[in-house]
Amino acid sequence: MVALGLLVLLAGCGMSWEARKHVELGWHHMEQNAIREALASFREAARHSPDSAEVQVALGEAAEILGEFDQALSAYQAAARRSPSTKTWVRVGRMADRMGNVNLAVQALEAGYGTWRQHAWEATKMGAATFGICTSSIWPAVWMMWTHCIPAANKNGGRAFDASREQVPQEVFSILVEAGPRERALAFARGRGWLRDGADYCRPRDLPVSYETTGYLAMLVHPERAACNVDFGTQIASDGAVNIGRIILSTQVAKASNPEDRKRAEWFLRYRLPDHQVPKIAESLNVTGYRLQHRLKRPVEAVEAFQKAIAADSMFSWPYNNIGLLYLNQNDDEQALAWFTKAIEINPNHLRAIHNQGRAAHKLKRYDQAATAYSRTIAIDPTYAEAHANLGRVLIEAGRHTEGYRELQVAVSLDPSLEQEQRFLNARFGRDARQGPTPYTSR
Amino acid sequence: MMTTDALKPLAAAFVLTLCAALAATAQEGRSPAAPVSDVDRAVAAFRAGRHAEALAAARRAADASPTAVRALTTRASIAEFMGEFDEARTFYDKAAALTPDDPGLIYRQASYALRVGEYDRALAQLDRLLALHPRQVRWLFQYAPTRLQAQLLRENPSLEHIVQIKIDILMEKGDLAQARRLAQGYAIVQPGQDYCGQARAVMAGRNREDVFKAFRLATLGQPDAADCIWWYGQWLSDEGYVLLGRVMVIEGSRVTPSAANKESGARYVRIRLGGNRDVPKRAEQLFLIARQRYLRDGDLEGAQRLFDECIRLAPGFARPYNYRALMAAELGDREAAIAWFQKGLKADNDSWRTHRNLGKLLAEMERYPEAEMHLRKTVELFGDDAGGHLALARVLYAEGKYDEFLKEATAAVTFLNAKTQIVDVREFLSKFDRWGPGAALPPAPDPNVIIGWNYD
Repeated sequence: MVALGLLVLLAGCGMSWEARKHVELGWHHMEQNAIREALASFREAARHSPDSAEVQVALGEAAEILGEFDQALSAYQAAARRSPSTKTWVRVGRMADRMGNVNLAVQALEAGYGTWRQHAWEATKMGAATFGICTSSIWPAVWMMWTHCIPAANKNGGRAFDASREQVPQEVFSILVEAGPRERALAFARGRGWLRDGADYCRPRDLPVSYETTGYLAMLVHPERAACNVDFGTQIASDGAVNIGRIILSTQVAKASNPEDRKRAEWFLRYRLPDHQVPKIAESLNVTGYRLQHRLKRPVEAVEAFQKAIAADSMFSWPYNNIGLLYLNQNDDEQALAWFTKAIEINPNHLRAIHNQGRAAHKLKRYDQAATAYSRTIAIDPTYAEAHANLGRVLIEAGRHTEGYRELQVAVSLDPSLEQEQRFLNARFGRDARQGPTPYTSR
Repeated sequence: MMTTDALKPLAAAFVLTLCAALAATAQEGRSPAAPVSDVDRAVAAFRAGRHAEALAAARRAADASPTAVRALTTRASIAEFMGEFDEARTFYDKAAALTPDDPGLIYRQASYALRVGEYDRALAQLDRLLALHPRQVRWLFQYAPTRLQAQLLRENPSLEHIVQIKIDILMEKGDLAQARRLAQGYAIVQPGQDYCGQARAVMAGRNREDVFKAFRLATLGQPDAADCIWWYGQWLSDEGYVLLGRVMVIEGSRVTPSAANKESGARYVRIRLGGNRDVPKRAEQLFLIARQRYLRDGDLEGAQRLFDECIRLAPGFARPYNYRALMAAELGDREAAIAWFQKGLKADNDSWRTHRNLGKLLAEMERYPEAEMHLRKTVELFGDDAGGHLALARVLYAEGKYDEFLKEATAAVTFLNAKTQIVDVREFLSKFDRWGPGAALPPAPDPNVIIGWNYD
């Protein structure tokens, strides 16, 4: 009887004892930041219980972190088939998006919009939290519960409802914006009720969508007066989303009415972004490698992810630069220099790679090469304080003191927070007391 | 009268230094883009430390838009920063004629008046600024008891700046009693606090700004703290504030009960600060600016012009002669450099730094007997000058005066031993001890060791 009961219980969990053991081992490895080992455990668990949604989700997560996108997608799909919840479909959609599979991404995300009840639950939680915080702050003035706390709870609850309802559709929208054509994305926005007559989407009011979505709307609806999109495009591209960043900034270059906006967008496109449209999967693998390197501190796995990004697009210079940075952090300066040089060969305008080439050459005491790289960096971006500081240091180390001091001076003028350089100059020349006529005013 | 909103630019003008204030207007985006107007170009160039280019752009801007207050003020501010004082005054006046009650501009005019030594005018401008504050704030500032003033100043940073600048002015005028009363009245210093002890404690931490602040507070809050007052004076001497430096060292010497310290203070003023030779505030500021234009900006032509003006205003002030000499030497004209040093000594024969620089240059030129004479004078004026002793030792060695070399070098090593590493000198002495004189001259490093003797 007991055995039968246990069998029924196990069947209910959808996972065998063996699978459970491997899943738990997998999570243990994840906690230890041993992601490769975790993936192996989850694979083993999936072998034992291929129908378990829990196992498939765990397998998908580990595979996604390591840039094993095909396996991640099929695991999420298997999980969605077994347990078709909103969250699982969203996982499928996001993974498909990262792999550049637009149709699957949209289809899956549409299944992940969530029900009215789910959004209402989010609203209730937010409303209750607001009411609780508000009540404790006005206590014991109980009448203010009616005048302040209930309206505040209503307002925040309503916002939470809208935010929950529009969250996944916004992801669909961003995929459509990136995939094009414009009309399809606009039709989607119209369908969601996000379009307003005569609205300025750089200064949106009462729209239940994020800053990113309004930025996309500004680009689609009134690109000629979307000055906010220069910063938006710059920021989103700096975060690794190079393709959508390119689209936003290219639109600014083509259509912005303000010449300064056009110029800034043009500069960023030229020196801070790849010189071509990068396959989505390469972009995603580069981001994956970056996360592995910086957040998870897994350099070996990071290099593998970067290598996959290169395999997906050998003309994408960012992963080359990132591998170089990884070696530079490990003080393997020869390797670092080689990778930075490759990045520059692929994209001679890659500003960060040029600067990093200088850093690696500098560490190797190849002063002429370092000075050339830093000077090129400065020629491209005269406001790059760190490059001035580095050039200053390299010139001083190479015995060209006067020029070096000048560069350090420019660096600290551009960025007064460069304390080490400031101290060096002060020790050399005395404190620069030109700012004011008395000791107090000059500080 | 100003509203709170109207006070914002004033607060910004106070809180921000000139660099930061100009830079703040330029921080529009993260990617560089060509500035659209000459004013923007001026601000961008200034921000990048290209001061001469900044002034040129500001001049173009002000010439093209003679009624644009921003262009006029930018030109005046950059001109003031670069020591082009007449130009600064002209354009501050023009801007003030257009917007007489602009608090930021009034503050800059006060700063300018102070630069050129017009203390009363500066105080009047500060009073004008005070008058622009709301009535209740002014009333509290005037009549509230001391215990409320600290909070008032915290809430109104512009008021604190006014008080602090007034304190600097009073100290510089030599009215220390009034400066101290002001500092106590506005709770800048508190009774019973050991600021001098705090200064000594933070010195170990090596955060220079904290040390500076503690010395200043000690000067204001502890009139008997002779050592700290003296250190503050020496600190100011290194920064180039000759006038206030003199006041402080003289005050420290007056307060100290030690006769030896009194003598030492008097000597410091004589050999480092020009004794009682007249150095107008304008000359002090011109020198301070010219020095940085030369050393940091590499602006030889501009610096030279300012040094010359400084010499014209204060012919007995030795420091600018020194820099004219150093510039000549950098340009390869050593004879001209020697001539400038000699002019400096003619102006002030007790200038320790001038003897020292001249001695070292003559040694480089292998004119050893003359070098010896000036370096002997150097260490006679300041016996703890280890770098001077080492330079003299090197010259004596070159002249074959080995016993004297040994005496000078040993004195320097003994003095420096606890403070800094001079391994190469010790190694040389050890070899000399074992094998006697060799062909190579001994090293003569010049380490910075004592506050107040490092920069001119």
